[in-house]
Amino acid sequence: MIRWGVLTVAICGQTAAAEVLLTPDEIDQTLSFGPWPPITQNDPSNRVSGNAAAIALGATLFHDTALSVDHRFACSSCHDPTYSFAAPVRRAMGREKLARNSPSLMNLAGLRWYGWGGKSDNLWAASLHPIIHPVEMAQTADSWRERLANSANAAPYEALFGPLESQTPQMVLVNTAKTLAAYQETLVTPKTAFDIFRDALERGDLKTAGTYPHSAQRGLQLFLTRGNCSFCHSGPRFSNNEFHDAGVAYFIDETTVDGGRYEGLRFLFSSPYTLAGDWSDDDAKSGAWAVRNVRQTHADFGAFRTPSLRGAAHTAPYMHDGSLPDFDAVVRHYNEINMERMHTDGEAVLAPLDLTEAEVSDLTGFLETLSLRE
Amino acid sequence: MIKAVLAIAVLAASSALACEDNIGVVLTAQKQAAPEAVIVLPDIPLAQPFSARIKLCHGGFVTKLNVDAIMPAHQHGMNYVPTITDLGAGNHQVDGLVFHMPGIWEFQVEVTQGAEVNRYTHSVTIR
Repeated sequence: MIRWGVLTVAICGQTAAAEVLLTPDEIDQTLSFGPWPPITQNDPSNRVSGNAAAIALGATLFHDTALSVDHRFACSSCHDPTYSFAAPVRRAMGREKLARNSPSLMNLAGLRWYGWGGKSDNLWAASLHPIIHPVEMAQTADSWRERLANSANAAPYEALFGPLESQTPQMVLVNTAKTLAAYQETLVTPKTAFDIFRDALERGDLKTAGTYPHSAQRGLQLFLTRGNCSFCHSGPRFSNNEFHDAGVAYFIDETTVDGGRYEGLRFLFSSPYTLAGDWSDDDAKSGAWAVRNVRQTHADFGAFRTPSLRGAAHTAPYMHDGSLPDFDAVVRHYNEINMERMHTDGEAVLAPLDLTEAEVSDLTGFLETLSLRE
Repeated sequence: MIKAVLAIAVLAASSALACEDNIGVVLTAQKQAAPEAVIVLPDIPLAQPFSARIKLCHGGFVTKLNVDAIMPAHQHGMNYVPTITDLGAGNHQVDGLVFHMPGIWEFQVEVTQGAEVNRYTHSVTIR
């Protein structure tokens, strides 16, 4: 292994070896995962994005079971703040067991796609769909307007959007979703041990960088090289926010298949709530190029959005179907990936990694450093 | 900073800079007799949209221009169809390009001028 920047540091009268194990090229790649958090702009498609009153109303509604037709669920039922706004179960439980694991809602501001299948191109649409989905909140636009009008949330809503009686039910539904989006845009994971390491490398502070555990550094090296992880888990969010076949079974049960991105695009193309649609507040339709130009292919079948790895230690189980209970299982999934499961015309990125037990441990150790443990 | 690293051999050769304004890199033509064409690229961001300009050095009426890109080693292309705007005099603006993974990407350009079709490629490494 090429070692760079070996530094011996005297600490409290003792000599401790503080080393940066990464090569210059690996350091250069590591810098691309920050700085954290990224600077984000208010969402131009949501006129209450960044609005303090909208954020407050969105936070209230997020935790309010009034959002479901029979008061059974709040958003937080499946996106629990205790678990980084995910849920510690394999598949989310709505009115029936849903097809997918609850994704974390952290770090969602400014993404190009939302949801495992990317059926939304903006956060307010992603917030709206569960409200009216028949096996989730099961509201209609009419039932929600009536519920809201007769609640304590009517006043803050009207302060933001004007009198309810002058708005169509559809308008109220969209505005409500925009407050939920405004709230979720504020959910950002904190800096972690990895960020301290990365930032120290950027400013040439090898003393601080060298305190990052060697096992995590070795895991990072695997992440960047043999593991092929950074092909998809790239950038400050550790996600390219695109769609890939990760070799996970896409049978929901014996007779039902989860079409992943393929189904997501079918939904997207029929949705009135895209950045190209009339409900966007952005007259320039600045983000609409994606929905207009996205390409649908049969390789989308069984492909799912690359999840961010930030805060992921709090969001087990993993993968779109929650089938892998912990980081160790995820690493072993890629280490021993079943090539027969992959698309024959899919990406030639994944292959068994042939990692040793020590390397599996290093890689999971690195992933742990992307979350802040209490 | 993520940068597109243009093929060194191409950048190093002064003949790779073409057309009168010496901006851009000459595309590799499939046929020797194909008219010279140039691509002008920014620092390409990973997984974010970017634009390019493609210029036919000696102009001429372009009936049709297709631009796409693939990752030869990964057996896939882009997830988006770029938008192409004819700027006149052989210049074309290409918007909505997204290279969503690091590695070698190959631009594939097809220029139709009447009955003549010429194909070009250009490789870049994305980090």
